[in-house]
Amino acid sequence: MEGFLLIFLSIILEAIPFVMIGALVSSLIHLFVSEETIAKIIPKNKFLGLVAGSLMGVVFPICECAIVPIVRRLIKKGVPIDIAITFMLAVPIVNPVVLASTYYAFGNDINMMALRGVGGLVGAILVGAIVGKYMNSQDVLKDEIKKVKVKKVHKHDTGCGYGSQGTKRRFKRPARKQEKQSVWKRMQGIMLHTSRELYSVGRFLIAGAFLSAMMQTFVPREMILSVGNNEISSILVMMAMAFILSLCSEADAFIARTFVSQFTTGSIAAFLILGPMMDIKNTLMLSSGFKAKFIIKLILTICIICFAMAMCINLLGV
Amino acid sequence: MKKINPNELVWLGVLSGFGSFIYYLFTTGKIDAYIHPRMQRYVLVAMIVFGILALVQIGQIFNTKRSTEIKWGNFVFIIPLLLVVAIDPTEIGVQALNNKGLVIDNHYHKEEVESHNHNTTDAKAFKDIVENLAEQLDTMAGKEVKLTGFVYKADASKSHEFILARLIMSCCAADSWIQGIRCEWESTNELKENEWIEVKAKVKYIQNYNKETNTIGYLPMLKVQSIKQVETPANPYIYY
Repeated sequence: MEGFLLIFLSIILEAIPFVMIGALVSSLIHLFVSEETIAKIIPKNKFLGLVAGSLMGVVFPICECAIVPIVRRLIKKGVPIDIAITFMLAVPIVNPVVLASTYYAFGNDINMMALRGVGGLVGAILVGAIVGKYMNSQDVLKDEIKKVKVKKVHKHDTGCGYGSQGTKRRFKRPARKQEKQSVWKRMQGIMLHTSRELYSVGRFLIAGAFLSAMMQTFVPREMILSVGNNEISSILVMMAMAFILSLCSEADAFIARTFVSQFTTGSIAAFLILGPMMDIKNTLMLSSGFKAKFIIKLILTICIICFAMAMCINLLGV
Repeated sequence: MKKINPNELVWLGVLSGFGSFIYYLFTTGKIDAYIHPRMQRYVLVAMIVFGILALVQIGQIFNTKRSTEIKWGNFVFIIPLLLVVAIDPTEIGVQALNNKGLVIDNHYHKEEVESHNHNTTDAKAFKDIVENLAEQLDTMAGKEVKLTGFVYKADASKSHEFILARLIMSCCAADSWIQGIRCEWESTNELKENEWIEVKAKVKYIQNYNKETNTIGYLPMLKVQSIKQVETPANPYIYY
């Protein structure tokens, strides 16, 4: 029980600073970036947009805990679903911090890092393109979130979207514009918004950490490993492991390394690619804003693409 | 008298609760059992942010414009805090790690120097020896080594063999694992599981037949010369 609680809390502690960054960035986007700006930035060419989205991690090196609130906000702000999803899946893999730690973890061997980087890039673009083709942006976010958006539109001038504190102020000083608010009030607005965002994502982080810690403490690793280690089942097992363990993408390579002797290269690449894209913790965090149907379809698409890439690696014997 | 919004009050409690929990971990040093020292600064930042958010939240507790219906989501945040107050875990326990797997003969690299700073002398010695055994077994063979760890009996049927183990952390407790070195010792039966010992031993290697590749490899083994019982260290982890 002590061990369980320690693992449970350590996942929360490890992730919370990054969830906070995500909540803060999301709040800033909400308050300072307009839909028009976003529409202007995004390339008109679909393919170009997807590639640009997938490479954002290079300048925006954040891990998978921080990305969910940001993506949720971007979709609300009108970023096309395919680009948003590509962005979400690629950033936690194709980013200098994660690739460097992979390089170190595998004893300064460039091979696994390259497989991970290229696989993550290609996988994210493919999943983004598929999701964009078959899903409509309207079907992605939960209804209540969309409703909040409508409400927000006419409260926007108060500085804090959810802010009923703002409503009160607006009542007294209806003509006041955001620009005229004092820095202090503005900071307060950002902080309050971050706090709300933290509430809406944090719950799911905690639930995810709980599940993951349960699986880790009470299901023996041998039981998962004994399922088999031939070419196909090794990939499935490693994908399941990545999903269950919910490791931080900066650290998972060190764990992946411990499987090297027992597992195929393709399956380890699958572990390294799937983990940052999707795991228990992330699935639950996604459910803070996305429809269940969409999440299930997204997970299935990611798994199929990831499996296919791992099979290719195994067959080609890279 | 202004009315209090219970949800906002609870959320204030959650924010300050998490902030105090992290503060407690740092002041008692227990944070070492949760998070790698390299990552601890982020947690410290999180503590400060919790503090700021809590301060801003104080202004919200009289805000009855927001829904005053009970928000069950708040309870999700309370559960971990209650568990901490009730149990206050200090060590992960080998039992929990058993299910996460044991690593022997892992390939290590020495380049990652930064994390060495976080380790105690005996932890550093253990780490160096594991690295050397993996990388240059032939030059290590015959050399005498001294290292500290706890007794781990992976295979209880072997009465002349045990594993000298340490806990390794590369990011947080969730990714910690047990790293072990095979040891040969006549009276392994007298050793208690999880007991901390200092071992003086000579390095040798044993042949190992690999069924899958049909090749013979060499595995390191410590031929133990003497064993001394030592106290459990305050921080049992080796950080990578």
